[in-house]
Amino acid sequence: MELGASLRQKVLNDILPLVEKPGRYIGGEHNSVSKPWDSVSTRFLFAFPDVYDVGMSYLGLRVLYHLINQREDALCERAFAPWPDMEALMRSNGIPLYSLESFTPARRFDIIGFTLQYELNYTNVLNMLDLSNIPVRSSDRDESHPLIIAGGPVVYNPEPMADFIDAFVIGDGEEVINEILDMMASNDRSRDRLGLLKELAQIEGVYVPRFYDIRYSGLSVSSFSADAGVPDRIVPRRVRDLESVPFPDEVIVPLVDTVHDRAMVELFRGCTRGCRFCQAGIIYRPVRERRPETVRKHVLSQLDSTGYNEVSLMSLSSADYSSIEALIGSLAGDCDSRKVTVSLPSLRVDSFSIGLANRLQGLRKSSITFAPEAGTQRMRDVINKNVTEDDLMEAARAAFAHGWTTIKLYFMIGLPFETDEDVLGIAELAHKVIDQGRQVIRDAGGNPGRAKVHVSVASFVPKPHTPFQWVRQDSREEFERKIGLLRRSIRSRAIKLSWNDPDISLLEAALSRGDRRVGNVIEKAWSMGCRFDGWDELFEPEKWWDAFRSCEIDPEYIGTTDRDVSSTLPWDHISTGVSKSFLLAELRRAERGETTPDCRSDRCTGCGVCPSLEVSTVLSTGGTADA
Amino acid sequence: MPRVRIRMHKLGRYAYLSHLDMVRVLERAIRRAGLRLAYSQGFNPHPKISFGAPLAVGVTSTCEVADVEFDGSVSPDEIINKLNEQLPEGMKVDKAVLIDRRAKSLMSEIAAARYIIRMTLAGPELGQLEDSIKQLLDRDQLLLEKTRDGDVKVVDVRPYILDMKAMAGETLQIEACLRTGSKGNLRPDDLVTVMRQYGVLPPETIGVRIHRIELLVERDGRLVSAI
Repeated sequence: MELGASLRQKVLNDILPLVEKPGRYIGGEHNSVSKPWDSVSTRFLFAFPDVYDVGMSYLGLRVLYHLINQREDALCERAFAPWPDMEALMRSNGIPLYSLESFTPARRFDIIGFTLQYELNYTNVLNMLDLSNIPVRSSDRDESHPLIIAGGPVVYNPEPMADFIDAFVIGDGEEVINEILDMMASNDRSRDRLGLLKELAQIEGVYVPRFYDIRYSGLSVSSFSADAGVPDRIVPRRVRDLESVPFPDEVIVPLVDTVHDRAMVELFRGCTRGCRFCQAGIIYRPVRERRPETVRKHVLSQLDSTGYNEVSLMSLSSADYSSIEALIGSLAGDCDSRKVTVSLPSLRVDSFSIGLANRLQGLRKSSITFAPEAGTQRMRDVINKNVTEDDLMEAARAAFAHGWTTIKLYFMIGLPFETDEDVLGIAELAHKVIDQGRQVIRDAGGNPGRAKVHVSVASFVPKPHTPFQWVRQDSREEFERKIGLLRRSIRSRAIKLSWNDPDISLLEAALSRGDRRVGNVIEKAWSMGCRFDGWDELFEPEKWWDAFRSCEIDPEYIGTTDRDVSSTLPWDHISTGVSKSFLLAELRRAERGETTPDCRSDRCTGCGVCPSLEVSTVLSTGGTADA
Repeated sequence: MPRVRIRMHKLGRYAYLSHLDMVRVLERAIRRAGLRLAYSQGFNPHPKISFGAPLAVGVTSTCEVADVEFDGSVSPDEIINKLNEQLPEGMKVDKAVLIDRRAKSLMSEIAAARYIIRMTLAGPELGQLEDSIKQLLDRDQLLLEKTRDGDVKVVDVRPYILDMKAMAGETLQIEACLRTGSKGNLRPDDLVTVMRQYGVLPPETIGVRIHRIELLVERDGRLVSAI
């Protein structure tokens, strides 16, 4: 019997009757692609280091899966992290990690590509390699093993995972994945793994960590040397014009419920609002919009080929899409007659956005979310979140007037240069929103008691490549004190306060700003049983702190120490296209409470991305900001 | 708005889909097929699809019956052909019939279901099984402990077993017709528990697989197939 077939039978008959949510592990979805194994020369396994329900909601998987399967010489299948109950049964029954399309063991693929969306997925990467019977360390692998590559936003600081991944792919994936597959097709990879990696390192945007010798002193790099023939600095890939790369319509339709179970069309990539805490706002620059007629075409054909009744128009800030009104107008008729709802994620805080949301959601109004991020104007200026209290009050008024009764507000605490007054400002703002809501509902003749505000507070994590990359994170005690302060200052029962576990943010900071030495900690934590660290119910901070201790690394030192702005940071050899001097200037402006405008509607801010990556802002209305 | 009763099968890996998953799969297949579903009125319109007698996850079936309302005229043949183009192997529509719009809902009509229970390993001998089933059915009552919301309740399930017999097949199997619906309900996995409890199946019997072959409704005091 074919290997895949016997594995499949064993999983279906003996394993799945015993697991929770077995539908995660069966494959067989509409639009999944099963090509004959021997019909292609390169088999790529797209590995998502979280459960199926999360991974299938990720747009990048849809894009790359489609792109690779369009090639005649390659196939792409999928694997996700098994939940611990499934993992235990797989291990006790000798079932390796397998692909959902053909139930082929992961180890038989030529390339396994992980997407790293979140630092707290790192242990799952190691676990998936181990479940595939592949050594977790790159240096322990040979020609008989698949090539292990990784992309995604967090690989802009690849060092913590550098010991485990053969090659990182930095930046937009659409073009570089084809270059990698072309190279694989022409390379006799069975003979010389080092040669293959050398060749891979020639592709722009590819970083092969084993060719770099990096030494550290404290938190900074003391010496850095690249082997002959590999670049000193990795230039990220950026697709110049999204119209030039394929976008999938025949997307896989999951059989079981997933987090975002709907059609998705990307409006644009990049955001130049310039929030100083936001890494996405740096690494996807500049703004590149698709044309509204292209978006419309993809919406309709994706709905046709999936049968979905909801479509999400994706981007970092969808109300900013320059043709948004025209697009919504042109979709309204089609979507109404098909009983399809359109949603816009990440709404801006203003009444324009509320107007849009109102048009789209019709009668279905549960709650609406705004992210003012900080409680006082001074603090919002520090982080360059260009939202005023008036904007928020106006947006809240519009939302209550249109019939929403619950408003969710997202904030951060522990931001740089924060004072207690800024923390208390969060509570004040929430009270003002409640008062506003009661007033509006009362004026409309309704019951003012229906107005509700949910305040959600996250602990700030300074991220690499942002203006706050040098800044210390608050200590656990500081976070806890500030949460306490906030809890005591909320007087209204109509306001619900929730906050995240500071331990998660502390670990996130240590992993996201860590260097190559942190790899030992990740391996240790994994070997101690850490999995799915981003899931509250499975997160075991004590194991992590033990792992840090046994590797003689102090996570608080990585997180809660200010860094010297003149030092070389552990991620400085990975470029985002944005200059370090711009980030530093932004940090200085933050300190002075000065804001920086958005370059798509104002003058160039000199971040450096356009000249260094030879790209420019692409607006669907035809303009380019720097033209 | 024609109301159509369809019968699907759910085999192989698709046994692992839940009742809600099935509704979603069918709704999307109908949309892809370009057939126009009827939707409920109200704030949150939902498609008029209702499956009768949901199965536990992991149970296979050749008799998943659903009533679907369409918007505009449509023929049963068209439904079968168009839907089967959209559904995977293992989850196809085998039959479709137009039913009266005023007919009772499928849910309220269902009275019984017929199952095949297979044992792959360590089952008893056929003859022995026949005898013990006969003895089981001869009992006045069969008590089963059921836990609901933390309360343990003892139920006599004997009236819910309408018929039951052992059969020889590739593996040893039992066919049973069980009361299903609002006038009494016995789940096939509970029947397996009863069989273990009363010694029909030895405790070490493993690899029990359940498969549904028929859904029955009551008409004029008689049980007839739902479709």
